[in-house]
Amino acid sequence: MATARHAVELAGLRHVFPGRGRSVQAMEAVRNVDLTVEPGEFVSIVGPSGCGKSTILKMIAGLLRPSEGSVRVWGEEVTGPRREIGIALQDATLLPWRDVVSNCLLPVELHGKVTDEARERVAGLLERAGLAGFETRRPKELSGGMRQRVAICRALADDPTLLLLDEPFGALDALTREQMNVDLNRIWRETGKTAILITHGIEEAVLLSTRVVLLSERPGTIVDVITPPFPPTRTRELLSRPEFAEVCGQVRDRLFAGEQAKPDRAEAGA
Amino acid sequence: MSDVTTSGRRVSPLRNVVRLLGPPVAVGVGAVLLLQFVLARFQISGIIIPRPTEIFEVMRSEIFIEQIGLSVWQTWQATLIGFALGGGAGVLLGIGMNESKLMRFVFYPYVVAFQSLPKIALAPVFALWLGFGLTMKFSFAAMLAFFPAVIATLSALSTVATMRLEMATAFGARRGQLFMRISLPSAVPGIVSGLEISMAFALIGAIVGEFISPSSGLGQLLLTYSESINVAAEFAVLLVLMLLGVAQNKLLFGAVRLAARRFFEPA
Amino acid sequence: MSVRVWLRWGVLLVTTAILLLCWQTLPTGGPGSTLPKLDAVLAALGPGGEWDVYLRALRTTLIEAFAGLAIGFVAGVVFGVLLGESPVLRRGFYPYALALQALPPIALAPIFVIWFGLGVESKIGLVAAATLFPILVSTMTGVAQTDPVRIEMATAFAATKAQIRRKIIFPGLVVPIFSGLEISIVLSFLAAITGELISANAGVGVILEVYQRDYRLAEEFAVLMILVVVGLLLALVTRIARRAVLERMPHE
Ligand SMILES: Nc1ncnc2c1ncn2[C@@H]1O[C@H](COP(=O)(O)OP(=O)(O)OP(=O)(O)O)[C@@H](O)[C@H]1O
Ligand SMILES: [Mg+2]
Repeated sequence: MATARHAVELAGLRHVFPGRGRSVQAMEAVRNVDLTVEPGEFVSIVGPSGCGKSTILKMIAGLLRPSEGSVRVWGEEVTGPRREIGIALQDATLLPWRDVVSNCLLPVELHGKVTDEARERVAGLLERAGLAGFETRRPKELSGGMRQRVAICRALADDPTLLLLDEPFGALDALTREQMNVDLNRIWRETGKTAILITHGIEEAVLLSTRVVLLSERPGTIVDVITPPFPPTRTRELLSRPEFAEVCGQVRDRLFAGEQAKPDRAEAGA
Repeated sequence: MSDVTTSGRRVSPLRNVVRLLGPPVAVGVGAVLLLQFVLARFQISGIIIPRPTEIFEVMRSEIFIEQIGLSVWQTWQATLIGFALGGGAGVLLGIGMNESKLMRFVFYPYVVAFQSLPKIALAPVFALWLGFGLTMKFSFAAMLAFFPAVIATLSALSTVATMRLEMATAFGARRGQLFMRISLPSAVPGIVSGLEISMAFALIGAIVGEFISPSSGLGQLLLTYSESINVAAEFAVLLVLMLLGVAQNKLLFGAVRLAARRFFEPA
Repeated sequence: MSVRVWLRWGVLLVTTAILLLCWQTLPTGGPGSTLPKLDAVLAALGPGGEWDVYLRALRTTLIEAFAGLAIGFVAGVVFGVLLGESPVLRRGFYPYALALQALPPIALAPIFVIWFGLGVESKIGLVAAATLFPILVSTMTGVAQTDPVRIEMATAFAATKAQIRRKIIFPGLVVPIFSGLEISIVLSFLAAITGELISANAGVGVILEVYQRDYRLAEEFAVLMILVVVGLLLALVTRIARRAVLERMPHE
């Protein structure tokens, strides 16, 4: 076991949301997803809205049970939330009654006692996220981008080995988002975590990832996996390089491949 | 804070005080003078509407001051005990109903049934069961205070943002932790608003209790003055009761609510 | 149906059955008992009950409640719009409106009896006074909080003052006025009964006290049961009215 431990293994994963009576029909959100994530990877999942990306993430996080198939994290079957997972969601979901530091310490508290070591770790994380000096601020005194950075620090606070990010930058403007991407890349490199990112942004996915997983329309299933051929250190400068645009184009083509078959799209393309 | 107008010009604090306090003071003084003048001019009997000076006379008299001090205390004592018992029990039942689906299902029909009964109509029954005096008053006040607390607690707890709960669950929060660290603090502003209504109802309960089984308090004082057709004294009591209501519902709870908003409300 | 659902219904039914059983067996029902037995209450609710008395009282109370509510509603909306539109008036009257709102309205009952006597008039007055403030305050806040950007927008399109009122301000009032009204509907019933309990010659409050004085507790509890049903119906009607109003009238 110890020899070839994968960070995450999804095998034959399927999820159906049960219906309620006659008014709400059962909905198959995810179908037959197989994916293996190696330690230290940064994998992005891209797909159309409502295709089941968050559902997959929730199954990895142990918030939802798969209807079929299995989820393994570090070789163990996931049956509920696990300590080695840190998560950040679309909405920062910071607790408004706590300041920045105690928001970050929440996972540590939930797992046990808050140690000095944890405090130091959080201080270091905040420093690295450019939030030094804001430790005692409340969330409402921060900008949207800062809140998102706090949420990422919180995800890393209890030193998880697997980082799950569900559209953490969805609500930010384009400029801030770019900055956050560069920051996130640096944090990922410096901490050596394994990360899974869900995003709508093709550029964001290509910029950050070692692999980009493309999902189909609902029920979501993997249509392709693309490996951006860039070294781990990603900078803003990469965004304007032709190779980068080429990879993004490739992703875009694959994502819309299914739709190209529809006549109106084909005409529009011609 | 607002010593700068929208035009950016600095305005002296005195001007600001005049601007804020001017209209209400003008309305108050104007109303009193107008009332005094009209009542005197058209010789309207003090039995119908007492002149402001008559009310003032009553409020100055020693006997009134003595009576009102005691009565306010008696009424407020019943209000506070009733609020503490009814509001507290209401919050607890609201929490129970939110945490246990079974409990919610079983209690819900009863809460709805009681909620739709005009509970004031139970006053005679309370008097029958508990007789006269403090116990009857605070029990009735507690009963009126109970339901707003249940409803507000339940609705505040059941509207806590799902994402917040999911986030904490993903970090491995257990049920108790989820409640203490996420649900309860998120629900505090809603619960406080509910308790504010509870306290207003507790005061109503205490006074109705005093109306129905007169033994003491402002309710009884009102009845006594009304029997002797002492309308000026009646108005004086209402004025004091209004001040009590303001102190309790607006000032006390205003402060509590402000604090709750400051510390707990979503940014 | 799942086990869970069965369990829930089971617990609810068993609890209710136990409660009803206690109600039947625990009170002695004899002289000196302060709780009538369940079967006595049911008998008082049956065809042998004094339905003509119940219904006459209920009609009086409902008339008082609705007449008072109508007065309170109209006055509340009118004063609410007036105060909402003028910042000076609002600043002048607002503290008094708040203070009067903090005064428990039922405390006015004895005064209204002095003014209007024992009949329905004094209850109508009390109900009007009690229902006025929730409607006034919510209307006023609704007017005052109309989004200034919308008014600016309309002004930029050269709307007249009357047009702004009709097309921008009033549609925004439907929801706040209705929430005020909902509170007032409950209050109206409550105030009418309180007025009757204190001194009156007809109505639900009166028969409750008369039954209690004559120690006919079964009838008294029967009236309370009827009040629960009437309260439920009132809540239901309010809910339907809310939906109908929100569907027909322009609102947020
Ligand atoms: N709790 C739920 N109950 C029933 N259906 C759900 C639930 N959560 C999600 N769904 C449905 O499952 C499908 C996938 O949802 P999911 O949130 O995974 O989409 P997504 O890919 O994350 O979308 P987006 O990019 O917009 O966030 C959607 O069609 C949604 O309607
Ligand atoms: Mg999603």
